[in-house]
Parts: sequence; structure tokens; C-alpha cells
Amino acid sequence: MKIQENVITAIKAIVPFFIVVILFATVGQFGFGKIAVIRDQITTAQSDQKVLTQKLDILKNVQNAGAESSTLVVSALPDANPALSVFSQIKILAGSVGVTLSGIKAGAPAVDTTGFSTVDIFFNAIGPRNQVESFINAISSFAPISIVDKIKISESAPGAALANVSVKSFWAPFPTKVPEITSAITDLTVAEKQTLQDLSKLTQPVFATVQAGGGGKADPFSP
Amino acid sequence: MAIKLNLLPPDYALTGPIAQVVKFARPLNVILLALFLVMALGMGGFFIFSSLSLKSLAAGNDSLKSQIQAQSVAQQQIVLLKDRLGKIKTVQGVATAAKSLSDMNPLLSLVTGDSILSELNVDPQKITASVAFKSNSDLTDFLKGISSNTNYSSVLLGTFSYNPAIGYQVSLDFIKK
Repeated sequence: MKIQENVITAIKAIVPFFIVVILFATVGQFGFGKIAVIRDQITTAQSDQKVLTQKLDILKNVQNAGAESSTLVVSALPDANPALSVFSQIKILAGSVGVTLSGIKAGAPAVDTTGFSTVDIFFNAIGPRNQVESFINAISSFAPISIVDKIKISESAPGAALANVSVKSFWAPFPTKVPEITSAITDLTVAEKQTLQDLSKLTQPVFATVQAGGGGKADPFSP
Repeated sequence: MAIKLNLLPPDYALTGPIAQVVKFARPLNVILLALFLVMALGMGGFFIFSSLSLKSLAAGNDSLKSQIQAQSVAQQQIVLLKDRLGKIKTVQGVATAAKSLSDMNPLLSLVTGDSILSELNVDPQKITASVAFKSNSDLTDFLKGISSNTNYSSVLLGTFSYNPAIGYQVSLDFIKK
């Protein structure tokens, strides 16, 4: 009888110990799990906040000079065949340096080894050799960006040159995807800013806007 | 001297190892329970604090996201700028015949007077020139110009002929460095 009473007393002392240990284990596992999850969420949110703040700062800077810069880069490398703009630029340039142009024509669009779409423009430039050389060198000074691919110069008389020139112009489609809102963006690098500055020095193509005439008849079939 | 009282019947008094276990277990239970309560309260407090921090961060991020969405035009612009500038850099790296012609300029400037540049073919890889010199001195000046020019690793003489009507007809291949 005494032994039984002793055991009950011992059990009464030990059972709370096990209950507290089980509580420790259960609450600890649950609580630490929840805390770990919430800490992860906080870390992610802090990282997002850093990215978003940086992104917003960059976007505010871009907004100030964005429209002008976008026009410059699109003018330099358009998204469609720039042959007509290049024709116009070549003609304006030839006129300004006193060179006569003939046989100006564009080849078929192709894909260059660099992966860009290209169009070759061929023409003859006639004039004093030094002026023809100046003209050829100045081709890199206008937008859309065009490179002189081949040149053949011949003189019929001293100083009077005929140059057969092949110019390559490029275009590439615009990007179609804007990154996720939480993905980081980087500001323009020093080299990119320098390129933008160089592009601003290019002669821009001149576009004329045809205004809709107001004097026509509303109904073209009316008497 | 303290008097030791025991009001329990002697049969109930614990003895032996059980007495030791009970004696040790009771204060341990109290300590563990206290520790558990401290831990539970600490975890609860930390959880509440973290939840509030997360809520505040999420609100801040939502505000930033709405501000960024309001700048969607600027975002499109920077994507466009980055794309175009990268591609323009590649295009600018393409070799051009204009550079080769520009490099030839010091030599071409020596083809003056009665000398005629019969034919000059320039592409980014190679240059070939055919020049007619009326006089020996014009030819000599041109050859001196070639020897002092550092743009070419070698200049190959293709043909060399003399005709009293035309003068010296020289064709050369210029190999770039």
C-alpha cells in the first residue's frame, strides 16, 4: 500500500515535468516556425523596398530627360527599315558638301551577322576628290546610324572623282516586355550616357508633317 | 535548533530513490514552467512586433509600387534606352570603310597635280589603289609617304608599269595592322 502511494506521488511530480517539456516542444516548434516565416517575409519585403526605392529614384531621373533621349536613340536605331530617312540624309549631306549624287538605290533587307536587320544603300557621288572624301567621312555623322561598307573611287581627270559607295543601315525591333515591377533596374552607365551624348551630336532626319487640308469638299462626289 | 515536523502518517513519507526524484522534480517543474511562460510571452511579443513591421513594410512597398506604376512611361523609356544603347554600341563596333579611307587620307593627299587616282577600292578588310603618276618626283613623294605611314603592316606592289603618255602606273595592296 505504501509503495503504491509513493508511486502516485512520484508520478504527480514527474507528469507536470513531461507536460511542460511537451509544451516547450510543441509551442517552440510552432512559434519558431511562424517567426522564421515572418522573418523571411520581412527580409523579402525589405529587399523589395530597397529595389523599389532605387527603381523609383532612377525612374524620376529618367523622366526628366527620358523623352528627348528616347527620341535620340530611336532616331539612331529605328524599329523599321530606315532606307528613306537615310536617302534623305545622304541627299542633304551631299548638297551641303557640294557633291552630286546619282543612282541612289536600296538593296533588299537582310539580317546581318551581328543579328540586326540591315539594308544596303548604293549611290554614286561625283565631285572634287577631297569633297567626296569629306562627304563619305560625314556619313557617320547623321542618324539613322549608317556605316560605309564599300567604297570605289576613280578619277577621270586629276581631282575629279566618281565614288561608288555602299552604305549599310540598321534597324531592330523595340523591346516588347517591361520587367516585373519588383525587378531591379540599373541607371544608365557612364558609357551609356557618353553614347547618348555622342548621339545628340548626330544630324537628325527632317520629317515634314502634312497637314490635313480644310478646303476640300466634304463629299467628293457632290457637284 | 529547528524542529522538524511531519504531520503525515509515517506510511506516506517518501523514502529511497523516489524521494530523491520527487525532491528534484518539483522545483524543476516550477523553473521549466517559468521558462516556458517567458518563452511563450517572448515569442508572442516578437511575433506581434514582426507582424506590425511586416505590415508597415508591405504598406510602404504598396505605396512605392503605385508610384512606380505612375511612372510607367519612364519605365518604358529606360527599357527602350537600355535596349537601344546596347544595340547602338554593337553597331558602332562594326568595321567601316570610311575609317579605312580616313586612314588613307595622308597618302591620298600626295596624289595631286597631274597624278590621277585611277582606282581606289576600300572595304573594312582591305584597300587596293591604282595610281598614275606623271612624274618621277610625284611617285617618289608617294612612296616616301608610304614608308612613313604607320597604319599598314605591309604594302604589296601589284603592278608597276611606265607609259610615256600616262606616266608611271602603280597598283598597291595595303594590308592593315
